[in-house]
Amino acid sequence: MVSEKDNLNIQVENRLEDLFGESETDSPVAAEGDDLEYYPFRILKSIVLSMDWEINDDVLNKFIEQLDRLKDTYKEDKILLLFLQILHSLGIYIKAKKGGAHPNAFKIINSVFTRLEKVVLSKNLSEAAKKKMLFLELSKFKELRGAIAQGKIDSEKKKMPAVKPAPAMVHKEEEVPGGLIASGTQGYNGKEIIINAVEDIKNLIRVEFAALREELKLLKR
Amino acid sequence: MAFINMKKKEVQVKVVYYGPGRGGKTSNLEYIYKKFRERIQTEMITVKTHGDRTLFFDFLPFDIGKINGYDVKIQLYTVPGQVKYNATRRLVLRGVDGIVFVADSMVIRKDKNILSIKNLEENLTDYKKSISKIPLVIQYNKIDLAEQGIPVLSFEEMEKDLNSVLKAPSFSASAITGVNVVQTMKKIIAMTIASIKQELK
Repeated sequence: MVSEKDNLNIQVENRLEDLFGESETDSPVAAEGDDLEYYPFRILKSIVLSMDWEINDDVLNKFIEQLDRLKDTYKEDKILLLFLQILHSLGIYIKAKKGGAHPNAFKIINSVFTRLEKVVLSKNLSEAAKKKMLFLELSKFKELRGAIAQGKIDSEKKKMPAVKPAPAMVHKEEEVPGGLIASGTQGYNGKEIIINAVEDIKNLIRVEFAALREELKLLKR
Repeated sequence: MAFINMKKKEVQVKVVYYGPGRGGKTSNLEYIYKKFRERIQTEMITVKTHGDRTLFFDFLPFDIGKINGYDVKIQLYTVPGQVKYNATRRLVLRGVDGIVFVADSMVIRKDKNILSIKNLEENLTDYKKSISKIPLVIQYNKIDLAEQGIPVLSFEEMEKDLNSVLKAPSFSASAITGVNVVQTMKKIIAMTIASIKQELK
């Protein structure tokens, strides 16, 4: 005879199996998650998620290696290619600067990758929507490049290969994805460094609040 | 204690995914939502910062149908893992019925896992709940990183660090690829419902 406890367990298990049984899912994610060929960004995603301040050369080498591979795979897709080129530039920059890299570089990697995934996984996304996403990330990249050029102190100039815009993307943003390591910066004194750092923090707070307000607007709808 | 509406014969079960920052709590919910959204037919609500980190919480509600004549509504929450958001974590824990502790398998996260589970214990104590009594499942996430050559802790090491006393059910998992994500969720829901039923007796 089945006890009351067992009966409850059976009911719960049956309900969960009905809802979350994994054999008959028809969602695209189910197929993509298990299939490296179908979702070639899986390894890159793992690397991006593993990145943090403890980031080391090994992780960055793998990151850049993956991007080289993906750039080759998607050389015909102008939008994806440009996303990958931004990530590549950021990877090379962080590898060169290590702990001295601008903190926003890590945030932009996350942000670019998130949008890249949306572009890849959203089957019904229009070309215009994809371009809009790309240009949003390009503008962040441009801002970062400006911030780095402004805040650069030491005179070492390791020139990073510029990201070449995809030929078909004729747009004023074409000029944006250049290298991140500024070439003509001047030295700052201690006071200027502090002022710049405070400005950076202020900008970051402004951006965070703007993003938060957008999220709240969405929630209210 | 779960919210129970005797008149409507409805039970609301609150499960919170807890753990250190960037451990994969949101990824767990995202995987479930993306994979089963056509079946659960609800929306996932998420509030993130500019850098795509969880600021307040993620929220994924869904119904699992009737059990013992009651409509059971599950609410999955995550908390922000970053240390500075402890007030938010405490708030999200209010009224919690079951917990999934998402630990990060990366070697460099060893200490953060331990700090986070201690923080969970302290925050539960504020609500007069005990970590050893509340339904708890521990998930060792990011095992897929080993394939990339990133140093990860073994299952045994993580058990020793986090579960040697609690002896909670535990899973190695990868929230990105989905390995054991659904199993973790099924386990915590089953344990939590059984616990609520027990409390009602």
